[in-house]
Amino acid sequence: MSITAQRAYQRYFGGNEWTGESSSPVTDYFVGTEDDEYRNAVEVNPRVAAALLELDVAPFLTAEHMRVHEALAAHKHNFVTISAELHKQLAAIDVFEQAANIKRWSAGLTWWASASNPYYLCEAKKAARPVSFKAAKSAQAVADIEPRSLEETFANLTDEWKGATEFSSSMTDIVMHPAYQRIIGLGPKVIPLVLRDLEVNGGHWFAALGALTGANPVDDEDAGRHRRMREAWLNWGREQELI
Amino acid sequence: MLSLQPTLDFPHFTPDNHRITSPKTPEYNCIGWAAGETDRFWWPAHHPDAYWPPNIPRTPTVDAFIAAFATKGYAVCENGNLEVGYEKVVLYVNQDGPTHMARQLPDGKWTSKLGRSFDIEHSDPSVVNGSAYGWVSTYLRRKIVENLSVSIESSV
Repeated sequence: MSITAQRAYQRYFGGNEWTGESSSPVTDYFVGTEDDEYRNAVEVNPRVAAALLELDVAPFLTAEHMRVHEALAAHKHNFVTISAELHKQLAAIDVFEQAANIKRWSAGLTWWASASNPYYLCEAKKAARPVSFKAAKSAQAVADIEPRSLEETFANLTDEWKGATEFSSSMTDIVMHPAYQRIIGLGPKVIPLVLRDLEVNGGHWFAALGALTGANPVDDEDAGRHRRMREAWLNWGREQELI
Repeated sequence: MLSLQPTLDFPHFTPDNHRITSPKTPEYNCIGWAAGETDRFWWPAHHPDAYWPPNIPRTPTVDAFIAAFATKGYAVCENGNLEVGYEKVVLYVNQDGPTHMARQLPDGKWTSKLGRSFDIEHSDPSVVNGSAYGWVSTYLRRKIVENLSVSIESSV
């Protein structure tokens, strides 16, 4: 763990419980952030915080990216989300493909969490400044290790995901599986493939579609009703001329 | 009679202790199946992909599952023995929390939906113990309302 991460870790676990009334250890750590959004950013699970902090300033890059998801998956319901301000900053980043991946990753997490489950991830603040030498190197690394076609990559990941989660009833385990998260990381270009698989084979693609598109065509009353959710998403895909 | 081979996930499967009773489908899961619903995927997630009864904690804990099934009239009971006038469900857990539920059939056997896979009928709850679902944690039961209404009508 780097010195920076150690400092943050100490601030997290130093017994200074944040009350929401004043500057928190989290906002102290992010020097120079004065906006109110980050005053609301607080990590609630020490283990997840520690896992993320160990990743230091580049937690969202390829292998590290997967470690984050594994850490989150290991802790099940201790989900995280990020602030609206962070989204704005991420939206301004379009230099590297990695930045796009970061945006999707963030969108997925935020989409997953809900207003009634306000776990905020201060560490994601660091994603606001990911355009770095590391990001450039990682983008190249991604290109080097994934020369396969999108269709092939999608098919392989889908097989891995469906095989590994076939007997699981835990929606958490299903959508936090690393292969599923990697499919989300493939970006918007994978949306037609996801919709096609949903149409032909069914399956729990709704979280991925939500993360990839930012849309939610499903009525609240249909939550959990696979057939209706599937129809809603397929209709949405047809309206968008994606299938 | 179709059955499944024993695997690491389900090491106790034998041809004699279970049989497949439905095609695979993702439309409901074991929790929905235990609750008697075949068109809804139950799970305590903050997620439109899953249903969870309103006002019940959306955390994957035994207590949350007990509370969810209390909305269906179930309460914790001692065991999975067949009891006249009651129907039972059983909750499984592993080291991370709840994983699976099964429902008792009128003849005392049990029925499970295996994730997105098949429904099976099994001779007793421990048949699906293993790395997939862990082990039996909690039995719940409720009175069979249909029988109650019949007995009331009979007495009238």
